[in-house]
Amino acid sequence: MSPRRLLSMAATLTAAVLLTASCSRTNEATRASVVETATNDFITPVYERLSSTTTDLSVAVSDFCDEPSETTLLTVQTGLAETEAAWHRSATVRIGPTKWRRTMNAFSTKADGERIEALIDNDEIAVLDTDFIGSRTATTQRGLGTVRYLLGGLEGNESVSIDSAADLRRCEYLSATSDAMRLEAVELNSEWTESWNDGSPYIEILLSSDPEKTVDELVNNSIFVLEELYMVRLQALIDRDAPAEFGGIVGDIAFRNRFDSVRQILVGSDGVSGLSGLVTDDLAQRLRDQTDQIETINASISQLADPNDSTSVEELRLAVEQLQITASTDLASQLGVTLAFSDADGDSG
Amino acid sequence: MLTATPDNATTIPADASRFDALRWTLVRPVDAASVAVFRILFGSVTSIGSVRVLAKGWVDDLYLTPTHHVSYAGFGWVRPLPELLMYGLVLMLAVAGAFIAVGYLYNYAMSFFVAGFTYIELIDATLYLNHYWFVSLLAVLMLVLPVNGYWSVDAARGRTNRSDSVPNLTVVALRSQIAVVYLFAGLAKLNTDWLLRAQPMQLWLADRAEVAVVGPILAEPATAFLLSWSGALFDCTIVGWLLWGRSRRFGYAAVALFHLATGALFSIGIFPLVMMTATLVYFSPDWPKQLRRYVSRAACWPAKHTSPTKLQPKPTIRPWLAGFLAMFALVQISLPLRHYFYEGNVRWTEQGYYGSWRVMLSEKVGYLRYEITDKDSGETWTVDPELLLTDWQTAQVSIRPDLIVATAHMLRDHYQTLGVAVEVRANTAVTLNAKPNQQIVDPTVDLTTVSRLSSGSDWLVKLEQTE
Repeated sequence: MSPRRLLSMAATLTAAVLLTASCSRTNEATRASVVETATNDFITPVYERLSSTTTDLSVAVSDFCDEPSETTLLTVQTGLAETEAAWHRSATVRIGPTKWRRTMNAFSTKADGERIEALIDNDEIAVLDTDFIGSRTATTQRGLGTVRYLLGGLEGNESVSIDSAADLRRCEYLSATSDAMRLEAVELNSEWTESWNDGSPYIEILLSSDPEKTVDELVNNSIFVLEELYMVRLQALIDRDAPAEFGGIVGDIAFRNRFDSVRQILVGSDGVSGLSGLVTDDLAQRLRDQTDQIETINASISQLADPNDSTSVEELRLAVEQLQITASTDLASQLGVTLAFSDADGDSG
Repeated sequence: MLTATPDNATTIPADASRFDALRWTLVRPVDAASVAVFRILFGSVTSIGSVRVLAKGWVDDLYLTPTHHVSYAGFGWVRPLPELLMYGLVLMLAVAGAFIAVGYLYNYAMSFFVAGFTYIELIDATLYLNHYWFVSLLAVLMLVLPVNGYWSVDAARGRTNRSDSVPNLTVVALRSQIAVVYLFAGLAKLNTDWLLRAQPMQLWLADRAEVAVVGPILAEPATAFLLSWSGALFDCTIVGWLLWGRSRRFGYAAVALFHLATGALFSIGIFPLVMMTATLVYFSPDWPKQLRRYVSRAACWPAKHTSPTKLQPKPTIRPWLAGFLAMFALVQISLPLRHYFYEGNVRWTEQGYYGSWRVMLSEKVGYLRYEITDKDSGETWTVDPELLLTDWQTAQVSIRPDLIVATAHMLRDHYQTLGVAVEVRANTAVTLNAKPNQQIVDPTVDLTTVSRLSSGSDWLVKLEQTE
């Protein structure tokens, strides 16, 4: 048999196999469909929610400053908790305009009490307005942490003196900080849903862009958030050197919502969508089991900072680590996220 | 000194012994055009490759930015040069490549290239690439083989003896080097992951499911099986197809198709270009002249009279060169087989991996954290390898046991400079070809007590799903 004939037979055989394969393809989840579902069911609602909670918070602060009372203060505290929850829930989807606008600076959870007090006491600054706070202060002097500080400390569970919180200068600061977050959230939501860079809304751009890159970004963000939950928050609690913001109510809100952000990306709200739709059944099941386990353990912990719960915190930490391992090895491998060739036969260009 | 005997003979005598026949085959003169083109293409590709490194900013990203480099065992003394010199070196490699291509100051250029390129490759083991190893080996061969006597500036200027012919051994050596790559790459593919699970091909192709038109076909398991089997068949047999005169053109077409396809589908840099240019040496030694004649005829250019190449009747090969090539061949065959001296699956343990041509064979992704224990206080804490390494270094370290140990040693030294004596243990998880992740290093072993070159029996965890 001549080489030409061999080649011809091989080509025919290949064509036949590929044709059969293409005809038999089932309607499975694709990266594009997963990105679409995540965008419609999670990303869009997340930024709409952030916009509405910051608006509510801003109104509540205004009401409190106009009429300080336990009721109006409670509304502010509730609004703050909901804004914190909405912000943390966006942890894995801070992509596109959220990343480019550096929205995280506007919603900083850190606060520097000394610098905040110095700003309040600074007579040279006549008015602490939204523009000043939003553009001319450090990230530790604005955002969520600063609002929490102005309401009575970062723990948020200390008794707040209504009179001190409603002090004119503090209220001015509180209003400006809340309003700066509102403005940022509204503009951000507009860029996601109405128009980005005077063009199409970013949602449309995202849905028409390469889904592989979006999936890569979502996986990496999920791994990063899990790393942060494991290394920074839970390890810090176990080591007993946790900054105040990691414990108590604030830490609890952060953990629950940041983890929920990861869960939404990995397995979706229904437990079967998300990135798990792109991997083997075995791995999808493992992702579901591991996320369920974390939720179960976390639900059993009333206060993460409670020293009596250290065993549960350790249990939670190990569960988070297991999910992090699964995401950064099996999931990343099956989705081809980290390295195209781990035996390094390619170059990263 | 090996010589072609008897004098002035151009064909092997009928009564020659087998040894004489072999000797004659190796020293008989063949046209130098093929190896001259090989040199031109090699120099061009390496020059382009060096420019590419500069253009992509890799000098900074890969060599200057990392605060620590993970060395090869025994090469911890190799460190990057200062910034200006590092850029200068890569620039000079590009110039050297150009000099090699045109055959100008060839010996100096090639010596510089071998030293400079090898030095750069030795800086960081996380940057190991099979095709860079291949380039290093070709460069060494081309330094000792007579590839600069034809179509070179040096020959034209009389800096070296102009010669229309080279000993056949020159062509044989280059072909053999390429054959080693294909054959060992093919043999390495004869495993159950590759043949019976079509892994890691399925993983890679599924990642291309949304490529326009062909994406859905690529994502089909049947396609992965087809490509896995044909890839193994290609690697195992291509040398034969290229050596056999009747199939050579089809063989080369397959080479081109294979490397163009892999180049289009996967991010493998200059590897397809290297292989497609290198395999041209399998054509008849005078193929460039045949091609020139063919093109002239096809284009109806006026025929330029060229006298037939006068082949040297008595080419010689110096004994040192023969000895060197014999040793070189021995090393080439031994290196890919040395993993048999280690326990376990080489794709998992990677003991005996370097230089073994396990090309595009594994998809490994890892997770790595170190547990540091203060020897004095007993206090233990967790450390991310990114304390010392960049993210791309960490990605490689976390899947290679010897690099996990090397990084543990670096952490030990790091804490030593802070005045803390520590034990270092590794918490690892690695997935190989879509198998569930598992530990690769025993988490109870203090890695500061482990040698990188040890057998691994006391610190490596075996792959659970063995073949």
